[in-house]
Amino acid sequence: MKEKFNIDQPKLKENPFSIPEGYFNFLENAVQERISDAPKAGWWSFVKPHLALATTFCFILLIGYGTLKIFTPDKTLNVSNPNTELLQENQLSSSFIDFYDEDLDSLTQSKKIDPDQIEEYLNTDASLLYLASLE
Amino acid sequence: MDDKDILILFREEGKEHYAFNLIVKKYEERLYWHIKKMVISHDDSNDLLQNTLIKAWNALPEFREESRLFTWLYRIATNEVLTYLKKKKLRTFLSLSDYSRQLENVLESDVYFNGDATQKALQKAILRLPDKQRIVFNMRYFEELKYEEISEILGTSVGALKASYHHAAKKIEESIQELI
Repeated sequence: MKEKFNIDQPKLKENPFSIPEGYFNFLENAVQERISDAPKAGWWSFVKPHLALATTFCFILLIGYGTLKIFTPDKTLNVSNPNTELLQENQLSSSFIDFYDEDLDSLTQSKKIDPDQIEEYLNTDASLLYLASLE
Repeated sequence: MDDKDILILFREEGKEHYAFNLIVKKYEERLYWHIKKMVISHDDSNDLLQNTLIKAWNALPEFREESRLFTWLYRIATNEVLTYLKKKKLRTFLSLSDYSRQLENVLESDVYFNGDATQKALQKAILRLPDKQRIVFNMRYFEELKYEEISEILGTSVGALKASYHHAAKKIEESIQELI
């Protein structure tokens, strides 16, 4: 049975890699060159990505709103009502209200009584007792 | 020079480049090895290290000193490496085992590797770990960082890091048995 390998040996923790000669001098110069070429980051480079994100978001919202506006039907037109269909075809330009005749409606008609008729009735044989019994 | 003093110097008008060069000189080696152990290739390490330092230069004016400068730089370097490795895998549709094999081939042909057979076996075994576990192992094993420091860099709890490291160590020991 093989002995379990132990990785906690000091030699194993040594760095087995080397680097090209003068690499870190080259690195410092390369980095200085790159940061000298590029403009130093100011407030604009901080704001720019946030502004870009906000603009993109607004653009997407606008597209979404526009799409909904185009493809959502107008809710003021109730297509299921037959009267509405006829209205749309301009065949029915009026409604029930237009056919209502006040003179023919007996339920709402107020009856006016002639004052002479009242006097004639009172002059009949109707006694006081009879009149008093009327509520 | 102390990090605090370098940062004060950086904020002085006309002294930014000089101060930043001091930061580069102070941390370039540690950052280089941190990256190199992950990507193996010197050319890739150089590219990623330069990108790390340029990002640090751009972000340094906004650095709030909520963490140490060293931790902050390490975090930038770690993100650069993990992003690079992820992109590379996606670009070539490599599975973890194919990708480890590719890195092993780079290690085999690396002219800057001067270790013996056991050290090579150790490096190959480490390459077989998932990227995040590999980075935890390297920081603890080679760089001897404290778990609290690693936690600050990676944003992972100390408990999770300890578990990850011990798991990694066990896997490496089993892999080396096969490789030797």
